[in-house]
Amino acid sequence: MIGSSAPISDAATNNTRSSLVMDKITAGYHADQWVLNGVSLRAEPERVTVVLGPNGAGKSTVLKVLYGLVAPHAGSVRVGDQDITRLPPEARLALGLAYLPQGHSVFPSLTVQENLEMGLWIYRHDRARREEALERCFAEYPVLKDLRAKLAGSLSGGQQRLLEVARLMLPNPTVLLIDEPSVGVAPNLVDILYEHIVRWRNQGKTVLLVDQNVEAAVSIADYVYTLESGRNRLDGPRDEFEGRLREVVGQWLRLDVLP
Amino acid sequence: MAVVLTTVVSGILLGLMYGLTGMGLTFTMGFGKTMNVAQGTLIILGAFFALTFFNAWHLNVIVLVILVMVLFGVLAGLLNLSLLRFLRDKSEIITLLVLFGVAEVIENVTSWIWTGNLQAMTIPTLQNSIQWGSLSLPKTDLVSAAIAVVATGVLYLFLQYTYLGKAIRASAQSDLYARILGVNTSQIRAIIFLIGLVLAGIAGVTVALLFPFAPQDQDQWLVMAFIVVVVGGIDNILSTLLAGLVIGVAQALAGLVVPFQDQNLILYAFLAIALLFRNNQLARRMRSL
Repeated sequence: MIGSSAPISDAATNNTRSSLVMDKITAGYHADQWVLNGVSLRAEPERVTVVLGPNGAGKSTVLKVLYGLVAPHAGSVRVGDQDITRLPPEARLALGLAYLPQGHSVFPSLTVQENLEMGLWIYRHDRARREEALERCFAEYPVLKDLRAKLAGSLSGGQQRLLEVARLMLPNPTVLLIDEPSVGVAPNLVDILYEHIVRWRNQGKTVLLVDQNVEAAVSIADYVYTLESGRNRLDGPRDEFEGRLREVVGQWLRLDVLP
Repeated sequence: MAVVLTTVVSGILLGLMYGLTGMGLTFTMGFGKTMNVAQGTLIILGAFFALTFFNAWHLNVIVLVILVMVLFGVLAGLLNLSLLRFLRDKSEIITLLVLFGVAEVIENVTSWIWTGNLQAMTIPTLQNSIQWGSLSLPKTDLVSAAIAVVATGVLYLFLQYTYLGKAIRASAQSDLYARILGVNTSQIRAIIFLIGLVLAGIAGVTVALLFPFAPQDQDQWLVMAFIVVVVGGIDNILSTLLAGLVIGVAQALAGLVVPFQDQNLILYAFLAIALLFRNNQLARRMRSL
């Protein structure tokens, strides 16, 4: 189960080990030009599920649909046995989902403390829970406690990354959606995140990772999906998949180069 | 020397009120990404509300301010529900045009209800001055400056220390990242619009305290609000107040040497100079919005 000392684990008491299912999702921004065309996938607890694909395959849109930032045209999204297809992000957070977007997502002119407080926005009416969560966070990341009064924008890249990760984990999510950790971020900071992902998996969390860094992502993956032009292509456990990796990626490279 | 001192002090008092007239505009631009071109008409509407309530019930100024705030809150709610709700996903230029239409409607309704004549609110208990050494400070100036300082102070504390205030600042920096953390940003935008309107209403009460006014004066107050915003920037409401103060003092000092009818030139000179220096900064900020 989750960590050792987690009294706050009732963020989704019934969902601590819930799987996340995307069922035949069609979504996009213009009708007849769907970004996703009936994509299905499944992410299980204690597994890192990775979604790979060439540019424009719809990888990031998968996460946006799962998190409620893009409303799908058809299909459904479930966590455990609950249908969440039409829920706003706030409700999904309360069910234990959390989403880490691409690039740097701290609020630069808010202090570290304020950034963390924003991570607990869904518990804004529950002071006891917020204080408990902050305490836990500062125990895990003492450096943030020392920096709490600083503006987030004044932190180093590595510290900002830590702040993002700490903020992501504050509501004690059970399902983590992680979008392109290696885009727009210095390489040494990417490693921080991969280490965290492995730790979260070992804590029993469901991790869905979308990544362009194929090799790094596959190295921590348990299960791999590939998308092409908004459709499922191949999927399988990492062991089966690794052998075909070179061939599939080779094809994408040609896809990316050719007009 | 005494003349200069009196001039500076009355410039400060008037300037704080100028800052207040720009506050609503700063707030909706800086935090809500919306340029509320109805600001001028709203200020005048607030002035007419104050005048009407005072004439009917002889309320004291604090009660007048609270009553106008409540009414503007209701007005903001109605506008949010009727119009702005449909504009959330539209481009800024469409919102701008709709607000321009709102301004036209308000100006015409105001003329229709209160006529186009110049009117003034005279509160008998505030007609004298307070003597302080060689200074003679009109009570109306002191009261309107106090209203500006209190309104700005309350807004600042709200933004800095309340959870909602922090969410407003976070959403202003990134609507998407705030949404990801569960903030309902369209609700936040409605609240920002409401606060901007309430600020316009409060500014209207101070206009009624200090000047005679007519519906068509809205241009003048919109321009004032813009000058304050350009000089003060849209990042910080305290610098908005400070900008108003600087403009007030400069205008008052200029009044000593420039003929009365040319005083507005000083305002526009300020605008020109501020634009020269802040042009890039503002443009960058507006693009990033």
